[in-house]
Amino acid sequence: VNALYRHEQNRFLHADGEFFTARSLVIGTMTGRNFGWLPQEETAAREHLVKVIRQDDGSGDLAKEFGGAYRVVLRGTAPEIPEQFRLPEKFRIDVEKAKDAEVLEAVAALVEAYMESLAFAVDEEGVFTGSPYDAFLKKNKLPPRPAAGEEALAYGRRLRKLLAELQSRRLSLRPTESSPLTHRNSGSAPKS
Amino acid sequence: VRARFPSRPALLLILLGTTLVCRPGLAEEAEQPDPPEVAIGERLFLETRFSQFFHARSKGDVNAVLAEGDPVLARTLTVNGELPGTFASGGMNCRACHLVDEHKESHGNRAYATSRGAARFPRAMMAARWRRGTHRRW
Repeated sequence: VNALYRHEQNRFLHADGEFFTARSLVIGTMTGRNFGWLPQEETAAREHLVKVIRQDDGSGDLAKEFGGAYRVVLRGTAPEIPEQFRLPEKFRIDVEKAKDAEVLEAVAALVEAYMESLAFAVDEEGVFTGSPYDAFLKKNKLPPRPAAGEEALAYGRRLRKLLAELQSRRLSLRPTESSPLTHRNSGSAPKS
Repeated sequence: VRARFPSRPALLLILLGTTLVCRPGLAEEAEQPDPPEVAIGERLFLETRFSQFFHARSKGDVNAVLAEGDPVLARTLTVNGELPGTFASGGMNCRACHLVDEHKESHGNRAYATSRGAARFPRAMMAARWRRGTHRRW
């Protein structure tokens, strides 16, 4: 969640920072070690992925749940595609005519769209509201983000100063005030 | 003797009706379906057939149903022990390392965070292939 959040700097994807863009992550993952492929098998992995997309007959459980065979859904024009799975034109591709690299790019674009949709809860001003840290800031009336024009470093120092002042009093957030404070109790769990 | 108060089922219906009437915004609060590109992206995120495990056992038929899943996925490791694997009947997919509510009852919602067990997957898959003699040392 929020993996593709618009970081100004230091964005990295996967735990080791192997990738910078979501599309390179998707292709690299599905044709790499995470999916069991050896480095020298990259070509075979790419060919296999494209073959699955082209030859899927729509008989699997995922196909039944998500609109049918890949080649039909990705082409996006068949009348039998349910409206909720009819892709916008920018995501459509005729996988039978497209080159392998174009099919891979289309797959990566769709997974990227999915990843972008996974975002933490924010209020109407775009301030994060769902985590224990967010609840802590709100409860103690601490600024949840930099002010307009304020550098991140300046915000961090301001927050540290405010926290130091708070430590002279008792922090008002207690662990028992827990409803939004754990994933288990979260009322706005990410979609599955 | 006729009951003075509504029966229990009737009372529940009355309470339910009152609740709905008191919440006129309920219809607006209903979750909207994902945009199509998000839904299909999720399908690809869940797809297990892109894996080398499936490739090696499907005999060229991308619609094959495997008799057994990848043993690497048989268990979910946690700091407190092991749980049944969530994609034990198939091959690797993105979700296997980015769990959500698969173990919600016992371990809460994982919110796609990389699981502790995810780090072992590539090494375990390579070790399994090495034991089966399906790749050379590299």
